[in-house]
Amino acid sequence: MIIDMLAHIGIKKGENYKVESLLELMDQNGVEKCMICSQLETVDNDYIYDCCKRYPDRVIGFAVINPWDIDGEAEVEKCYRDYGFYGLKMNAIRFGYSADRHSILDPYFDLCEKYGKCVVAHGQSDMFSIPDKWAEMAKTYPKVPVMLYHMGVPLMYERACELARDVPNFYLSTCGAYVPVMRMGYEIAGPEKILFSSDAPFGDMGQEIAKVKYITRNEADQEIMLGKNAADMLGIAYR
Amino acid sequence: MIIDVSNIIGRHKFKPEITAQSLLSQMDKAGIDMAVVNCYAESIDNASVEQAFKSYPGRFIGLYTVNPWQDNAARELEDALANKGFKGLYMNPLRHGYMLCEHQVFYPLLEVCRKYQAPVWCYGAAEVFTSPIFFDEIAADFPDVNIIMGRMGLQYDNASAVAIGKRRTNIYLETSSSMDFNTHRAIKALGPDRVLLGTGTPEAGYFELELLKVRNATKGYENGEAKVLGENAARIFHIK
Repeated sequence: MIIDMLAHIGIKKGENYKVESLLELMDQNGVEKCMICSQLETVDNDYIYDCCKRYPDRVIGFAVINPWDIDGEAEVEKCYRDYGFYGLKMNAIRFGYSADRHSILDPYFDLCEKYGKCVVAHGQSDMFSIPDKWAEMAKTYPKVPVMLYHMGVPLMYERACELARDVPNFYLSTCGAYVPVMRMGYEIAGPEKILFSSDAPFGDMGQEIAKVKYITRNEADQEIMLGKNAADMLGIAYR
Repeated sequence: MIIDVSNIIGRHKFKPEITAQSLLSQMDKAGIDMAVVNCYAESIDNASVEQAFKSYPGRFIGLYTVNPWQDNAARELEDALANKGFKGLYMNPLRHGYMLCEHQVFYPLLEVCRKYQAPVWCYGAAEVFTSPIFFDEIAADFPDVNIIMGRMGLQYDNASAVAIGKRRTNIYLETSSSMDFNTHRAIKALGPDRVLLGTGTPEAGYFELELLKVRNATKGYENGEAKVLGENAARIFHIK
């Protein structure tokens, strides 16, 4: 079972990507379930909830908020308590905070801990999002799984892999990562620490799956990375 | 006694040379007793630094600069600390092109510093290569080496710099380039024992204004001004 751990859908300036388009892509590529979350530029968690109600077996809802919002905590709590979302998607660059800024982020991590949810985050080597910062949050909240998209490229992928190896609740996700980097992650941190994501429609779902399969011929490890880890993290039955 | 822990002297490929004499005359005017000096990282000129502290003993404390990618970097640093009178290491990962998470590049230098109980001044602005978050692990790996976090997270990473400094007692925050709020935050969080006056001349500040800034931020702390302006630096540089 393939579980894709990232797709931003819905309306933003210049784009209105419907869940039905995503489902087509999933069907084309043999993806059974896909994590969905709001666009970052125009936050709309209600659309994600609507999609989850319509396609409960195919999509996995995640919350997006601007952590600076006065009522951001209330919105996340609503997404967990009322909408049944599985976690929180964060992006330090889009919302302009440093990922180790405890005064901003701790209340959200507290909520994730309270509801047993995970945090998934943009994780390139830009100033606000460098892997060590998200790892700092993971170390601070050892019960909250923290997953880093892009595996620290362009500059800090080796570091990201080492952190995934060393921090038990710190994971890497493959979208946008270079293939040699994914192989490095596989070798350093192991397949249990790597989760497939496509970032569709921004990333090509088929190509992103092919990249994961390219780094190892071990089919059991491929399955771990393409779906089993995600099922374990999200508490979804793995078939 | 006032000690300023961030100053450049020496020659530069393009900029005018800063002589020991010219820095000294500015120090005298501002009431700075001693200056910790290093050369420009991009135009390495340790000879001028050595000449300065040998010509004016008691006024300059020399940091040695070496590009850690050089094969003989650790040996060169050891010679500087053991035989030439340098008192510490100056690190600038941006100018020398390494990340502070690439430990294998510069840890041999820190081993030398550990051996000689020499402090390290490391550029620590909000840059990818030098982010304060990296100082956490470095300080943990070298708990017996005092590390001065230069620029203390300028500016967006100051909260991070302060958090790391609070956690690691061998980290010292240095005030050059810091804005008022950040200077206050550093002293408030770490207390006045682990913040050091740094002006960052000639790049980041003038003595007078930096003294004003730091003095203002030490108000209300017992012996705070004396500690931040000199006693802390005297302690870590083994100045009597």
